Amino acid sequence: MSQRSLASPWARLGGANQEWTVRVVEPERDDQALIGASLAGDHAAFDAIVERHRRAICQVCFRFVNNHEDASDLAQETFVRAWKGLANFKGEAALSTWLYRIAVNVCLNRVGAKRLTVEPLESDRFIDPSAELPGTDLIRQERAQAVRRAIAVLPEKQRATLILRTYQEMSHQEIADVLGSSVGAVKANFFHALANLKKILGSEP
Amino acid sequence: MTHLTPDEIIDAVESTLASGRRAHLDACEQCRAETASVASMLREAHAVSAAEPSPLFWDHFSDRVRTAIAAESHPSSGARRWFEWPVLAPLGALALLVMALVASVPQSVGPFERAAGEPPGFATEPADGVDNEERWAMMFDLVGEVDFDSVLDSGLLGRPGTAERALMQLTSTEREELLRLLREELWSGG
Repeated sequence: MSQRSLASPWARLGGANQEWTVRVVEPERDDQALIGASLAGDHAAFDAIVERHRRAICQVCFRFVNNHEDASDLAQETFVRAWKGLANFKGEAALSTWLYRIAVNVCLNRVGAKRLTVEPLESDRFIDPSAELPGTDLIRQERAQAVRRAIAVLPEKQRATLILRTYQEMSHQEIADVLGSSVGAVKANFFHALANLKKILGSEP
Repeated sequence: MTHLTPDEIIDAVESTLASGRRAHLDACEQCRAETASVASMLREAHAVSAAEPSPLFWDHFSDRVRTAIAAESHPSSGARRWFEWPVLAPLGALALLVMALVASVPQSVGPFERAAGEPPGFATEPADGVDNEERWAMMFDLVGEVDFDSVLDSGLLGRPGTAERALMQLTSTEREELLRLLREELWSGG
């Protein structure tokens, strides 16, 4: 017979001759349950929210600023704002949508206020000496840098739409929820973002 | 027939264009060229990679968020902040100090004589003819516009817990001496 107190994650199983103590894995709580627990003062619940969404939020912040240091600061600010505003989260949209919305606002505010440095990525910094066509690789890396620079100068909504659609692979509806616009407007912004990228890159030397 | 709109071109790129408009795309060279151009730009943007942080980064990141949230503490309004212990404790200490100073200032000879048997330093009537309401009004005039952050920045308030820590560090002899000095200050005015 299983004997387990509510507070203990361990259970004792087995009959008269044999007994095992096993770790009972708690069922993973959904976002809504974690929000409720966080609001009730359970800090571990908010830690779980951070752990669940940190990768996606850091990725989107990185795409806005192109360097890990600033992206990490922005993602941290996103979660601090989320914690402070958790009581205002009504659950009408998914928690991830709400977090993306905060992250996009934080990124756009910060990028507008401060000129951020574009850090070369690992793949750009190190050239593989064994590569058959080092010249081709270099051209590809330079082009990637040019694309990042071009994305950085896009109008805010176009940039946010492009990042969320291309790199986070969100649906048009999800992006519309994050940006507070319609699906049609999201598609139009996406089109103009890509057209502007082409124009900017075409005018680069 | 009209050319594809921007959102229809996106639908075409993502292969979700309605069949009626697909017929136009097949027939219109201009729309096909535009769709191909947008699709190629999308492929190029998609190919721009982002370096993944090390696994250690994530633990460090969670720690940072935890620390930042702890530093924020529970969010509270500016007014409520005045009623929290880190504010009340130093303010209480300040109030005690003010009371001790007031008590230690020699009372000027005024129109009101202290009643026999009344403890010195606590005259029931003000010696200067200014009543308490006027004193409080003067205090509000002086500090009414000062906000919490200004007081904190000016250094008038110690860091939270400073007074408590200082008291805890006193030896029992020092605490007795402090008590004696406070009593002396409180009761020796006059």
